[in-house]
Amino acid sequence: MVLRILSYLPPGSLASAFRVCKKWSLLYREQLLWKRLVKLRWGSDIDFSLATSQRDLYAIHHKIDLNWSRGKFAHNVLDGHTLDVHCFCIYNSPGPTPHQFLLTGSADCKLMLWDMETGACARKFEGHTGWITSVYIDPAGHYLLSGGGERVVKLWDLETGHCLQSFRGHDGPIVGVGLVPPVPGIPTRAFSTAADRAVRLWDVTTGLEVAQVDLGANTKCMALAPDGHSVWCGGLDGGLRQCMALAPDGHSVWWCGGLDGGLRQVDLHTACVINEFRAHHEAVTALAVRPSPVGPPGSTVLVAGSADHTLTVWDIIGQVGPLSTIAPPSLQRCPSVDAASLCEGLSRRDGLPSPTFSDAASDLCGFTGSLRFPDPMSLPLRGLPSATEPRELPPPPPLGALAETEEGCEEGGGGASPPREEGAVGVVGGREHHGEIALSIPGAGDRDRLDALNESLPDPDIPLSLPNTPSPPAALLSPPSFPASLPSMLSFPSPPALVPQPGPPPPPPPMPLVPTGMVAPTHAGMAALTLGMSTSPMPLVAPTSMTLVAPTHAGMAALTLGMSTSPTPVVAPTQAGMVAPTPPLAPAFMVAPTHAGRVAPTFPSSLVAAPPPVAPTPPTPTSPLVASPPAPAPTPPLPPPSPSPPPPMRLGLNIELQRPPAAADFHTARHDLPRPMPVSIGGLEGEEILYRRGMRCVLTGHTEAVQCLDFDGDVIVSGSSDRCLDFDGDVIVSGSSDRAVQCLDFDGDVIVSGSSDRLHGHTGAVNKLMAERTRIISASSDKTVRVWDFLERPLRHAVLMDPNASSDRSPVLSLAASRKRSANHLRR
Amino acid sequence: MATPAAAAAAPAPQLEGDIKLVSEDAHEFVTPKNVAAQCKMIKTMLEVSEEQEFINLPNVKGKELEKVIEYCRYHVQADKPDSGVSDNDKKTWDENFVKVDKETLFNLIMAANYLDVKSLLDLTCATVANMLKNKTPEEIRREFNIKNDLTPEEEEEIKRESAWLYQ
Repeated sequence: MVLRILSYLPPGSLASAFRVCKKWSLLYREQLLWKRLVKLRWGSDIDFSLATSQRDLYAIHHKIDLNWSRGKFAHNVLDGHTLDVHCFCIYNSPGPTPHQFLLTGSADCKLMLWDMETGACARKFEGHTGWITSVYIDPAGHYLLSGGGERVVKLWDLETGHCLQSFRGHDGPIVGVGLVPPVPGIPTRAFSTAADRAVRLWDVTTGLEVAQVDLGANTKCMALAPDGHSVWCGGLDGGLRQCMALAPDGHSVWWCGGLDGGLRQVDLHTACVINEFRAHHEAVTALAVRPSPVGPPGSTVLVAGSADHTLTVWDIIGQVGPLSTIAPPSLQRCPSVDAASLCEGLSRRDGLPSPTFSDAASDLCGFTGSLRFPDPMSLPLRGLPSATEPRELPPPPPLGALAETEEGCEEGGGGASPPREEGAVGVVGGREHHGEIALSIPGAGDRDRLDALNESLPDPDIPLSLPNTPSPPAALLSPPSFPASLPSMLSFPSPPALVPQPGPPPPPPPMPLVPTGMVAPTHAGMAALTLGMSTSPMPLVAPTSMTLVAPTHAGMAALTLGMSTSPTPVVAPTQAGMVAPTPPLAPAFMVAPTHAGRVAPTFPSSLVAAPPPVAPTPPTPTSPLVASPPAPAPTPPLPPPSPSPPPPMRLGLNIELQRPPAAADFHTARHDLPRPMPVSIGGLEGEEILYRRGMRCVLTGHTEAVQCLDFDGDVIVSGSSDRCLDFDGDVIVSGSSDRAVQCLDFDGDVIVSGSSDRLHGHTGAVNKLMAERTRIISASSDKTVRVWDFLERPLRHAVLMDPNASSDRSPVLSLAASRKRSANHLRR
Repeated sequence: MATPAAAAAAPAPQLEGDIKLVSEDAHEFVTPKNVAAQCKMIKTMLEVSEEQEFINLPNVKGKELEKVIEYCRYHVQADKPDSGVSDNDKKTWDENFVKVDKETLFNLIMAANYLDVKSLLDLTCATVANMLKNKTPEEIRREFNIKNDLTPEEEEEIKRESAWLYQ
């Protein structure tokens, strides 16, 4: 019992308690007490690797927390390169005495291996003739891979320092390299991305290219997924791409970001882009992928940094399963925006999860991007050559297919034009071939676009129509309690009669709203969507909205549509065929799926009409399949239809309240950003499709392009050409333009307020970063690599800087955004 | 101590019947079963046999049992999603609930431990921990009437070993 009581004590009082009496002093050696203390203070998922006992663990993390809060660290400078350091990677040598090495690559054409115990240079690798931009060491420690400006990827023996292989073929500077984990029977493959828009897969033994993927845009960065099989690439287009590498299961994923702001996912097995979305306005320049602390196994958190000075945090839930199970081969390409054929196409997806959705929210923010699942069966490549036929190169990627995808994307997204600052046109884009649906809501001032769209529709009276193939009747609802009964935009025709619902085109939203959203996964393959929307406290540049299409595992499309001010109800058909309407203009609403597969609408405010949670048909006297009343003229700008709009909701709070019981949590915080932010939440969940993504937040603060970033699960560290390392404490930190920073932890609780903290010291742009709980490593154009160690461990051979004297500006701030877990503790 | 009027008078909405709890000193408390089931120990007993009319609790005195039932009843009501009780209200209520003399508090810890009410155990332990906070060893001894059986050498040693905690 004393043990239980002591476990609530802070460190200082704990020390006093040990001196009270003999019995209590014995508790100092009681591992159970320390275990409880650690658990209560930092949670149970604390990294144990540094400690030899529970007390040790407590002591180490106590010290780290103290040092973080006091801004205290050992500032080691590894000085040896003669030109900019562009890249590094950490290598833990296996064996009885684990030893850590740091491999750095520099513009001086040299690779240097540093002993991280002493800070001494252990080995140099010379042979490159251009600046080195990327390095990789295989986990076993046999090989290292490097690439750079000379467009050649080199494979080195880590022990001897000899160059074993050179891979030539890229047509631009290399930006990322990696080794595919070995597969029995298949020689190890290397992959690389370069500024020639291509990801190439190389045979390590022959040095020949075995596959090539056209990313469609140039890539600036690449990040290995935690499982080692996947890579994310960030591009100069601001996009992120995921590529597939050959994994033991034959399918594995890379993500890479494009210079176009999009993210792309590439299947190297079939050599095509299978997934991409737009993440930033400008080039994605930095990327980090880590396992998600929440969410189902395989989920990752992806942080992308961009030349637009911001960072975005994405949740990637689950993974894309084998492609053959996603896209059925029988579907035909459906080029027209035809609701009926869309219905038909989807109806042929017999029981397959509909792998479609487009983040129209991104579209509305001027992005065009969509999730794509091309049909692998229709593509010429069936796989990489096996070990016995290494020279038989697969044909180049089907450019036609890629072009089509690109087209489809554009069509679905309302045009892949340069980022627009206005809302996008409402579109139903159907590409059965890619299984796309894109929905978006017209923004104000987009009348002509809308008109053009409606002309392109087979029937102008059918603005939108979605199939709900195997589902029981689902219907469109307009809540009766709402005065402004504008026409509904959605319809879910029941299976027997795929009658499109007539309805006038949606009016432009009269008032800008900030959409925020979250995806609440359920346990049983149900698509769950939750959207939050809140009135904007500040005028936005453009009204935005979001659209989601989430198929359930039964293959039906479930759609939740939240839109700005247009009083269209949200309709979410569920497996049970129930439709839960949500009223328009609810400042924030959520559709939370329950275990029974029903959609239970929840509303934060009382102005919301209570929808019948069980009734499969709408409570409205008007039949949903009957034509809705004609659309009134565009509603006046400001007064919302709701009688008394509640104040803007804080979504974090919302989420707290609405958390579905047995599901992982996702949070998207609402931010007052200077421009529309790409809030895009999509949901796909099913027995086969295990992929979903959603943006969590945007981080601002840098004044120059973000060059690099990393995060260790608690803290995101980003480096920029503004020469600072920026600490975004706690996984989720968002800054508004007034520099006020809100920190949210994974529970959605606001825990810290303050500004983000910085480490000053570098005199050149920070090119590469690594964040661990105990230390931060940064490589910079000032020719140095710096190790900021929060356990205050000095490296013998490194230059040790005085943290307070090292800055040419202000001394290092106390890191106000201290570790999340300690903050949790303080809150108790 | 007589049966508190409230215990018998305020039936919980999801009433599945009442159960009579008998304390060590033979006080009887008739409580709704869903309130009593907040104690995991009682819940287990209720699950084993639903027919029993009373449960003997030989390790709990009437005074503490009454407090435990009060705690359980409040949280059964307040933890309902539609109760309208905010987390802050609950916290305030909890704080007031543990404003008792030390002896009662320790007995409450014992009772919560025996009856297996985890939230109450956490609450009471944290309350005691709060009393220990920022006190010297001597102050703690005085406060809790603990005899110092450490030799000066032993005390010095433990002080040295745990010095890192003072940072």
